[in-house]
Amino acid sequence: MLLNNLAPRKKTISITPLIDVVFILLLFFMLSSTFNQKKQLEIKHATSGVSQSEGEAVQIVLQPEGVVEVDGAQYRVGEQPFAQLLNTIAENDSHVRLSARASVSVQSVVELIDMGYQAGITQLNLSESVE
Amino acid sequence: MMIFTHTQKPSRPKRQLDDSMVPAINIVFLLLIFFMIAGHIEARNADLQIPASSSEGELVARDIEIQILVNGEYYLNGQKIEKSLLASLQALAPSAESVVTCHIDRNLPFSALDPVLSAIRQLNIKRLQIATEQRL
Repeated sequence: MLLNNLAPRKKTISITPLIDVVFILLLFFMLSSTFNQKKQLEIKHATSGVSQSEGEAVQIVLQPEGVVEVDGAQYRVGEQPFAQLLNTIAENDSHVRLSARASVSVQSVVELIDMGYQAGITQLNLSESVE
Repeated sequence: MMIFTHTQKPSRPKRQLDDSMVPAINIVFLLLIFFMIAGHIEARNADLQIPASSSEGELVARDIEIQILVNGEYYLNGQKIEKSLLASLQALAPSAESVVTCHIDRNLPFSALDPVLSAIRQLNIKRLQIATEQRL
């Protein structure tokens, strides 16, 4: 009688520890996994090519607070004249030599490169910060 | 008989509880599989928040990787650079076809990129990739 009673009890496997482990795994994957994929912006440093056509290259200098200096003239990022200028540069397929003031954040420079690529600029060269 | 009825009474709600747990466990399993397959695990660094862009180019792991942390420390392929970046890059003997991938913190001033730009120009490296994350 005692053996008969014990036999079915041993057969039932408790699923509670299993669920505990699954919950812990779930928490681990929820907290540690990332979903946004890393992208890249490529800058082709055509060092030799730029030296040939340096006279023709458009010099863009990004200044603090969204001011952009293009060959001496000042524009504001995000305003229509600057967007038109970027489109003209892209249409002419001109070289762009991009630089920024030392205090400008990397994020704003990346945004400007992004704007340039979206306008269709292909030949972009990044040079060291200016004072 | 008294003992028999006494032992069966609590076992019934137990079985009912187990039965109602099954759909919940199914959902937990599904969530687990979703996070395992859809997400990907990578080392995250609070000192390195890469800039956001709308670029579509996938970031492919390259042989030369430079990381610039928010505190201004430079890492080349995971190793901290104590001397000049140019000398450390030179030791890797890059060719003109080499691609340099740069992970730079978005809050750093642009001048933090100067050593990288001057080093790759002096080593005649033509391709620089700036790692960005998708704008959400």
